[in-house]
Amino acid sequence: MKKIIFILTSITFLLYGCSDSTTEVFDAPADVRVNEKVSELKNLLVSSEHGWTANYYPNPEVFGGFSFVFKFNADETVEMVWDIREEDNLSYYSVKAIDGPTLKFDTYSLFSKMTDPEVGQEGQGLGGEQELIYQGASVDGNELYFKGKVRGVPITFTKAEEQDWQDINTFKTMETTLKEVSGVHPFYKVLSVEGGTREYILVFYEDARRVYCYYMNESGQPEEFDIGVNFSAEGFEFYEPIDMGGGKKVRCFKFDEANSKYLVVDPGVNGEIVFKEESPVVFKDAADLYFSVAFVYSSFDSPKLISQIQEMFTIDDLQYFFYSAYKNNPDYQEFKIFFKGTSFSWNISEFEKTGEDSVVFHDGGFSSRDYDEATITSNAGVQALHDILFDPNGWTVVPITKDDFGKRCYLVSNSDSSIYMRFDSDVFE
Amino acid sequence: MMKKIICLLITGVMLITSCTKEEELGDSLIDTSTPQLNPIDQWIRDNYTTPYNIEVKYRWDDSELDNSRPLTPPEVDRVIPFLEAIKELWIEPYVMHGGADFVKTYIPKLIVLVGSHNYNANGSIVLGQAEGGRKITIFDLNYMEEDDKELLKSLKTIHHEFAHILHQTVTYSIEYQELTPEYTTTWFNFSNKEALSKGFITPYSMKSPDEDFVEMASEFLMHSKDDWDALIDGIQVYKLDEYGNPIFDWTTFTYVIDEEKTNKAKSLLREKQDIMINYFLQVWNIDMYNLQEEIANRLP
Repeated sequence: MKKIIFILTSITFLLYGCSDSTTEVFDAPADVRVNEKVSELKNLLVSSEHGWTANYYPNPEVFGGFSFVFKFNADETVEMVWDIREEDNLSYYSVKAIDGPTLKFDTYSLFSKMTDPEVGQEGQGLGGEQELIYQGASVDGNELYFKGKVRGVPITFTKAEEQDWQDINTFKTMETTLKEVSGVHPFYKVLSVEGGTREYILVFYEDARRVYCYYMNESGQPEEFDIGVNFSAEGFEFYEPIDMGGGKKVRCFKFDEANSKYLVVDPGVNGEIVFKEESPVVFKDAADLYFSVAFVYSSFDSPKLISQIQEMFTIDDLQYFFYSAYKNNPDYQEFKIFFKGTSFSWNISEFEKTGEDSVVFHDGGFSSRDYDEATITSNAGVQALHDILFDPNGWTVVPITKDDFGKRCYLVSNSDSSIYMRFDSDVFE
Repeated sequence: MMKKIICLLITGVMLITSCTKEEELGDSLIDTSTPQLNPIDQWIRDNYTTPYNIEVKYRWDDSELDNSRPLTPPEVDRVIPFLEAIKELWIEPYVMHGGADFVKTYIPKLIVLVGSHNYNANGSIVLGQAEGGRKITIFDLNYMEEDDKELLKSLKTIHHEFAHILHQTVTYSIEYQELTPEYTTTWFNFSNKEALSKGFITPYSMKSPDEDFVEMASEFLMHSKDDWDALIDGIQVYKLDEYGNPIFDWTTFTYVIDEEKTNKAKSLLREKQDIMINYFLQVWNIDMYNLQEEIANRLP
């Protein structure tokens, strides 16, 4: 009996131990599947006759997007163009199986500028990557999906048309337009949509390709955020949709040149960006921002301002216009205009803060080593500038950036919002 | 008893045979085909890999680099000109004066080329790195021109790193570090003039005996004999007042030279030079004067 039990037990263990209980989930080993994906990606990349377009956000939290058109060749060379300036580039790429099928830009190219420590923040770059991990393709094969190897930032390649190689050179025009529409117009760029509950003041900061959005929230308090943008031949788009309230969201815009405004082109949304005389929002803490640092202003932006002070430019070569405003230090509170080899200034006796975002300057008297006051102020342009700067209605301070890249702001006349000046700080706090 | 043994044996045999599985291996997944070489790859194979057993990586491979640093690969057009310069100013002189076998044995087997600057957190730039005698990484390729000082900086870095590889293989005389024992981690606080006045060839050589030794070797090779002698013989250490400022002689309109300290600084550097020269001659059979002249004749 013991023997029978022993034998039966042994047979039972035999049968159980040798049974193949594994179940194959995939139809092929992992290595085979990865190699198939690598081949698939290689074939897709070279298959597009005119290559691929892409809008790349190297660091979506800090910078906007940059547009590229790529043409991948079978010999592992890649041609590309981008929207910053007209130049082309031939370099090498490869497709490898690393953390999955990966597209690598192997030698320096325009795309490498997304990583180059000399571009963007010196020593840090824009935060881009050289290697993109393939995620898959759309059903029709017209889109390829990638994400950055290190930071996982997504990027989509879209099959290009021949015209894309020319159109990309026009994107710069849309960037210039977003910064400043030519001609005389009110300063405030206001975004609104039908059915939305918010209005945004938009201010474009070109160095980072970001738009600052200022609005009043449901409690009537000023709020703000910034978001990256990328450009197209027709206009621009936000990195992601922004909330307009009332269940409405917007992302894409087309410039209506005939009417000097942007139209929202998102499906089912009617909206526009137009210039308005008055700001629907208050700029939080703006007046204090303005008092705290020294600002340098390098040119006169507003066509209307230039037209009113035109005669001043006949005095001599205008170098630049400087404003300084160290808080509580009267030695550094002045408007100073530099000409070739000399200058004159008006001291500011008082900065009167008339609101959270508005200031009035009070005239503290003329000062110059080389110019006689009566002579210089007899120039109609100089007198006009004086009257504009010391306007009793004052100025609204519109911030552009507040930190990281230094403080920048616009001063917009409260008497006429088509008169404005831009200031960049030369002191970082 | 016998029956039990037989049962056990039968069980064992069944176990062994029934669990055997034979599977077909299938085709290899490793790509063993001959790689397609572009003109740059072919040039590297003909000028580095075949003669000297050196692999050069110019195409992006982040496994060779610090991924926490923003770096870029080099521009395609700069790769061959740079490698030509390095071959002419580093490899070939050592082949001529150290021998081909010496070069094949001790020269790093891997050179990694990076196009961008490599920034440290304090804003300074790393010019090059050597790792374990096996690999040298060169940065800044996209900023080098043929006769540029950036190329010379890079070349000096290569000589510096190669000297590390050699002394880590066979060390130099212990007497060297006894000449100027006041090494310091804050070497960056000293100017070139101050370092020379203390008997150090560069401020960086004040960091440690090893850095001192390789700085002597690399600076020696990057100067012609006349320039090297002028560098050492031109050292002047000034007398200082009670505040540590150089004393100025208003009658001659010159600073007052401290002859004793000046002579001492020159003497220390010449002694270091002698130890370094003897090391290369005795250990590697390399006449550094000839090597110096060879490189000087080739420099742009």
